[in-house]
Amino acid sequence: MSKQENTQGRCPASLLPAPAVSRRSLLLAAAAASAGAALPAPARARGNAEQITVAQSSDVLTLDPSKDTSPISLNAFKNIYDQLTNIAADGSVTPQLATAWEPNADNTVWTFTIRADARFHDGRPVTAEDVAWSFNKIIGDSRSPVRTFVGAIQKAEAAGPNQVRFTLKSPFAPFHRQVSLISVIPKAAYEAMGEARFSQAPVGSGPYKVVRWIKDDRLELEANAAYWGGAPRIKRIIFRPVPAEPARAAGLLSGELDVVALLPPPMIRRLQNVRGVRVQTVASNRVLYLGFDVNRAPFNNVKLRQAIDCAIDRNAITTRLLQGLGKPEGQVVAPVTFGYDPEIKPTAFDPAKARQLLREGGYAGERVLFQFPSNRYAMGSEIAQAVAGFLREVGINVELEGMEYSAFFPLWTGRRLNAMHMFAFGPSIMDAELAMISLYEAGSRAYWQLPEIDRLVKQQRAEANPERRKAIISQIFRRSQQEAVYAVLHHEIQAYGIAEGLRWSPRPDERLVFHEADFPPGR
Amino acid sequence: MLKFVIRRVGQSVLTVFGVLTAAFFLVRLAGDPVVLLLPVEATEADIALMREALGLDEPLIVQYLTYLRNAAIGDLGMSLRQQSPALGLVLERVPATLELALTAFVLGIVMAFGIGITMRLSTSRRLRAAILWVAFIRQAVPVFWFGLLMILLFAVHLRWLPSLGRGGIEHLILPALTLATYELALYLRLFNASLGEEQKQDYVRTAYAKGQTRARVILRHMLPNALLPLITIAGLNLGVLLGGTVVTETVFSWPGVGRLIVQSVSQRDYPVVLAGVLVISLIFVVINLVVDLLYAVIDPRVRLA
Repeated sequence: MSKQENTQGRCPASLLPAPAVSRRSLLLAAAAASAGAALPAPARARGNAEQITVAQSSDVLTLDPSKDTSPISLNAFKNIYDQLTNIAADGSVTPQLATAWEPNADNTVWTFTIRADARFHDGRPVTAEDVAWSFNKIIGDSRSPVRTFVGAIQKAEAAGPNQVRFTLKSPFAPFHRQVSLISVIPKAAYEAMGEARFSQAPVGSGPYKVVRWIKDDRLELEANAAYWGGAPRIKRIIFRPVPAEPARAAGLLSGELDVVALLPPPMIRRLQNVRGVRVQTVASNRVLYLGFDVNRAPFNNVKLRQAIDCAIDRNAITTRLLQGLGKPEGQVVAPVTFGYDPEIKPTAFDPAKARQLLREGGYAGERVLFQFPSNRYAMGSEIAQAVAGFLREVGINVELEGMEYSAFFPLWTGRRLNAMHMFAFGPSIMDAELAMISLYEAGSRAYWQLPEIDRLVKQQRAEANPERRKAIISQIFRRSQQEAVYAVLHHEIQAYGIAEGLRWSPRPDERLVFHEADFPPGR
Repeated sequence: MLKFVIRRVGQSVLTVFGVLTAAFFLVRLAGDPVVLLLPVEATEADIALMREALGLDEPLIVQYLTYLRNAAIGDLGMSLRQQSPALGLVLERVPATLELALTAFVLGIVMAFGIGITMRLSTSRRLRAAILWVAFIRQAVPVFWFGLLMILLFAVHLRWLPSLGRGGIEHLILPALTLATYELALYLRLFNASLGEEQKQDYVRTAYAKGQTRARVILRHMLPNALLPLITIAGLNLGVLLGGTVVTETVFSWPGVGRLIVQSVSQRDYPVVLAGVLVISLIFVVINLVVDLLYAVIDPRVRLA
């Protein structure tokens, strides 16, 4: 867990809602508390250390990776399929199906060299033809949401037995990261089976093969002994959809589950004391921020935005409300994400300055609507309430409107949120490009669109030199913070419950990949 | 009788049609399925293309008419999220829901009968009051919470039973008991009240006057009469159980219809929501019809006209 910084200038404790322990998590917390002493250690079949059961909040939607972009499905894809590259847990790009890649001078033509020893689960080799076909299939499929991920590509073609060449519509510097989102599928098997059958019982080339998928109950995978990267040591993985959060914690306590992601803060300390369960935290790539409609009153007033930015005690939120499961930030990307500038600090908490800015800006107590998704982020509603509390403290008349995420998201996409909102970003390619394309570029979801910022966005996208690219991105983030276009809150620190003895580490991007997991002997 | 059935079927078609219409507009007006389907960085062009590909670019009323026309010939469309026909996705989960709902239903009824009759036959008022109190408390506890208590006791502390998923009979016990005890509580209170009502009737006094035993009066004379309200409620409740086990399904990770519908609502996957609503409302309608027919079997005074 991250060490907590000092809270400068505390806010009255009453402003912060107590960590909301609902009745049901309280029940479980009590059980877990008594568990240390009273419970037998989770009855994990240690002799059967070859199998683990992993909980997800819902089931995968399809096993065809050319058809779905949801994080839940992506977790299955990452184990069943290979991608050209991989984003390592430290945010760097590592080879996977591709052993090497080379952009041309202006980042518009990328050539990837495919490894020769990769084979699909049906025994056929993975060819450059399969790779090109996988991409072209998605590019041509207007019904596939995955198409958005390959929007930069003009065409993909096999340029030799082990070479794939991508021609892009315009320069795209993080393209080697972008391809990590696309799973390679076997052309022959896909065409022979047809879309419907493939989506239920697919053929990949990844470390695990699909044994069976019983919808909404279990997805069983078994180790691919012939995997080019070495046979996985965990022989069988069972993904189980467990929709109720307290049921996931109970499953961990009873030994039915070995990996449970995203534990709620109130549960963590209790679970830490339970034998047989280990709690591990990881700094995530997800950053929460406040956005404003800067084109309309009252938020066309920069002083009001700046006042809000410095009225929020971020440390109090992360240390007290989230109990350490967050770290304040001043830019919309997290440290693990490419483009993060450690020099940009979170805006300092200064209520006196906030009040002064409000006076200078001529704020006269107008009502300010604050919309947020209530069922999306860990303690999302509580965070929004805390923010509103800090704003009220300096005299801003905030009105909270919590919404179901499915209702909120289309408003966010359509730039139809009214005044001030809360949202979060966790770029799966761990590159600031996602923030650029969504929050700063002209024509994006941004309310703040300036020609000079748009130019910088396009410039960083074309910049081949990583250091120079970082410098341009930093310029955008600095300007953004100065004008308080976004009041960035914090990056999440996420907690996982893991079976004692299982050697596996959570990733910053919430992906659940088990190729390298094992139960080390002698423990 | 035949006329009655035909009229009821006609009414049912109208009911189902109304339910489908309401569901269609509710789901579609409360969020855009296309935007929810695409990743955050999707461009306006991506959104427009997907909308067109899915036929969602037309006016809502046109989409509704198209949906009805296809539904009339049995085509409920493809899921927007899963690569399967919507109806297939729902029907795949019906066995799990049936298994859970019917087990809980039978368990609830059998226990209610056993305990209810024992309660009447016994002369101890204290026993009766105690049983009714327990039933009252069980009814007041939310299913979610009760389910978690069951998990903590039987899966976490005692390690007797699994807490999640569907499999053998051991997976069925906890969710079925959670549902059945709620049913039991309801039936017991109802059964007790209607037996108490019958006790005041003249025919009961007559039976006692003829010198019949208490047990015979209760079992032979009162029971058939007291059954009528129970059958109505049990019938309706079976419908509720079949469509409304969603909370239990969620707590125990049971792969049933309810969970599918809730998930599809949050994704605005409206073909699946509508297929689910259709299947459940059909089940409801059929059960209601059966209950009405059962009435006539049990009570000859009820005429089906």
